[in-house]
Amino acid sequence: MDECRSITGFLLREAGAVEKPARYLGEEVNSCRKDHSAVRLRCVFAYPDVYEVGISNTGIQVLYELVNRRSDALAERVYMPWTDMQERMAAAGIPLFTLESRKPVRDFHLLGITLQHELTYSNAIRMLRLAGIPVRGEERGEDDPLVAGGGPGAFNPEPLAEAFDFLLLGDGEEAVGEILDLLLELRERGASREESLRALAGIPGVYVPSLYRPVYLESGEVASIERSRGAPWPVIRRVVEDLDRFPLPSRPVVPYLEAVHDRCNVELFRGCTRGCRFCQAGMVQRPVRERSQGCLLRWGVEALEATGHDELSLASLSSTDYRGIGELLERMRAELGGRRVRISLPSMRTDRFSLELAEKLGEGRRSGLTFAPEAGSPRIRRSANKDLGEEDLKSVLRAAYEAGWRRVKLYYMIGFPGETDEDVGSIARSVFSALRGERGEKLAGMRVTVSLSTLVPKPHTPLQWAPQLGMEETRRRQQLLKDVLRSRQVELRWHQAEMSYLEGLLSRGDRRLFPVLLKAAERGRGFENWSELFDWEVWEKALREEGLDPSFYVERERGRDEVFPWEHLSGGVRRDFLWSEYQKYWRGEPTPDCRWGDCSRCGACPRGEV
Amino acid sequence: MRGRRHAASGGPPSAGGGRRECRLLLVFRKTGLLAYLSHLETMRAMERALRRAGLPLSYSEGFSPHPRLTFSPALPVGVASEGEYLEVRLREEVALQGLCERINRGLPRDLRVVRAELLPPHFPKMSRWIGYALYRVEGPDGGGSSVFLALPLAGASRGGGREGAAMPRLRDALESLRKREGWGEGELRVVRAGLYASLDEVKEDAPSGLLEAFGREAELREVSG
Ligand code: SF4
Repeated sequence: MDECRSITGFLLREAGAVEKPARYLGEEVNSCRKDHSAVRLRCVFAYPDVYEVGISNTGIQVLYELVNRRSDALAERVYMPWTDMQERMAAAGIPLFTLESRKPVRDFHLLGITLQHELTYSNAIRMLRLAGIPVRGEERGEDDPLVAGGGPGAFNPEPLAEAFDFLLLGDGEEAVGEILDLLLELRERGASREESLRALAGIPGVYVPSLYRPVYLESGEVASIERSRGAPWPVIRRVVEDLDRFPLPSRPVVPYLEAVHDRCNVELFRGCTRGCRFCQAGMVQRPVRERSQGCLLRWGVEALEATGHDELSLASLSSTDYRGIGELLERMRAELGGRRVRISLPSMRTDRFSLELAEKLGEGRRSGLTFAPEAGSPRIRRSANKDLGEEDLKSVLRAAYEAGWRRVKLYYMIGFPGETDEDVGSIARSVFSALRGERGEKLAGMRVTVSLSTLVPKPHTPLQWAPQLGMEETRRRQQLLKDVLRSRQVELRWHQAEMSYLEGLLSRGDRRLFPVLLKAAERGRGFENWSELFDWEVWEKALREEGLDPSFYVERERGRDEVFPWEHLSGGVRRDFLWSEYQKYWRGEPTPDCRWGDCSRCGACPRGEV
Repeated sequence: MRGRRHAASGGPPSAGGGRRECRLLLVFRKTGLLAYLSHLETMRAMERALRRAGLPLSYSEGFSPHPRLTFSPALPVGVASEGEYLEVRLREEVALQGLCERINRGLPRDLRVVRAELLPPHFPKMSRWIGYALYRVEGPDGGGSSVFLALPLAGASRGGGREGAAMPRLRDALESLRKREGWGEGELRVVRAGLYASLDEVKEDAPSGLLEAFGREAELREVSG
């Protein structure tokens, strides 16, 4: 109580001195403030990035609402304080606190940190330090919270696995209830921390890192991963089969300050079987599970009414793939008629059908169209399995121009395995073709933003064996494009080579990187995904001190039978399927989308095939 | 209370019911930690509250229509207020009964509509009738008696030949006040107590110890009751 009052007092004194104080105030509409003495289990969900990024994450909102619906538990939230606030908290001796009750995070029973991106890992560590929780799981005492992890990073959390007591792989909707039930029971029994972790490991999808120990070869590769008795092998990711059972979040928290996404999200479906060979979500979230139109309509309206938002985003990995998307949009528009609500489709295929849908949504011409061709050359697109069912970018963009669109954003990647300068150059060619009409005349007023990232091979994808570009080479290929994409109609944005390199290091890293991460978290400023705060030298130095060569993790192609650091974790898809997809990458052979075509027996479906 | 008289005296009350455009005046408070919301954040929060309440908002024409809302002049970040104004254009009249509760549903304690009334059709624009902001200022020691400070606002057309004169800024007025009261460096607690049409109206609400700031230098003078 006292502590919470002193934190409120601290905020009253200091909030005026930091940037965007609304990041720390809480009291948002639909935030949930429950009585701490009325529940038996208190959880905090943490997003290791700044508020306006974290608040836009739907996953946390879903779990937040699920926990708070229970009478025996509560959930609060915390985001990473910006550096100015961190300094003030340190000066005043204020520990990391939650937004709802303004109580110290370390006073909760369970701290769940979402790992959405490798470049937030140092923030995750820094959050533990700010909270006053020992960063190594093994150093925590009986009174410390259990630190849990989830999100895409849980599929290879090894570089920071030792910071977690347990992680959940895959969908959380069903598992969170099972975990809470078990924790309540364990608390009732007065179970020790160690006993609790062993019990948690029995829940499908729960990974307890302390029950596994990697053994390394002289060469640096993983020789094997030892597990203690009774620990599951492998830990298989959770899949919610019927998403209609989880109509959430129906009352999303409404931020005061402008968030990255200021809108209601409804998830049309989860999973994607287009089979892009670089995409982790497209592999570990299989198979496709669609929500019914009836539920989507009902929840969309509910969420809009509960928030007052004026935009409803139909989010999914590839929204226009939803069966009956045209009909759904018609019904939504009818339903939302008088409400002045904008409907948006954040991820569209590059084809005329998608364009027509965008057309129907009307509104969008201002904000423009977004497409993700990913690769410029047809050859690479074939290898990446990216050209299925997509039309020629040029003809789609020309149709868009004729329909009155003037702003287009295109996402591309460089660094595909086997990519030549010719392939890189084809990105520029397709961009320029988008700016030309039938007879090569300039399309006046058309503006194209090209967002160029570097391919980072991810675990549990066909490219998990592939080498990533080195920093020098990344910069050289970026320069190739910078040299040719000179036009007033084109804006080129690219990722800092070092940032992609670090992402790659942590993405396929192992536990030997933990000390490196600890050092970098201590010496750096966190916020690695913010280019103004990113500092590669801190990492380089820490790697040197630990005697580790980053190129071993990043630039090396793995052998077929190499044991991966994440070998004990399964994304549902069979390893030999991934390997054959990797071989097909090199041969440029397609694999059809099992949603419309034959099952390729990837292993993701519980009964083998659907 | 502030503004009420103007609303009541501005014209005949609307002939109830019917689908006709109307102007709704809301008075809301913004207190506690929410004093740290920026003007823009406050505007967005109120707009969403109106949308949640399902009011028949009237929208502007054009490419990106937005609800026609007018807010009283921005508060400096960190200054609480007990009476901010928000004028809302509605497509049709609404019942005032239970309206505040409807808008307040879901809003935190520190951001609340405290009063709602309908404005007559020809009531002047907000910027034309709000002339003064009144602040209550507490010295750094807290607990001490508070000083009332009246600040003329730019944009208002007030009598008294003030138009075009330089408007004092709150920050400067507080510095003048600090000197005058002999207050040290510590934090001042400042609350906007309300908005008024004229100095005479201010005097009715803050009869004693009222200071008025004037001119670019924010000099202070006592306003006799
Ligand atoms: S098992 Fe077959 S149907 Fe299921 S996701 Fe894999 S390829 Fe598709």
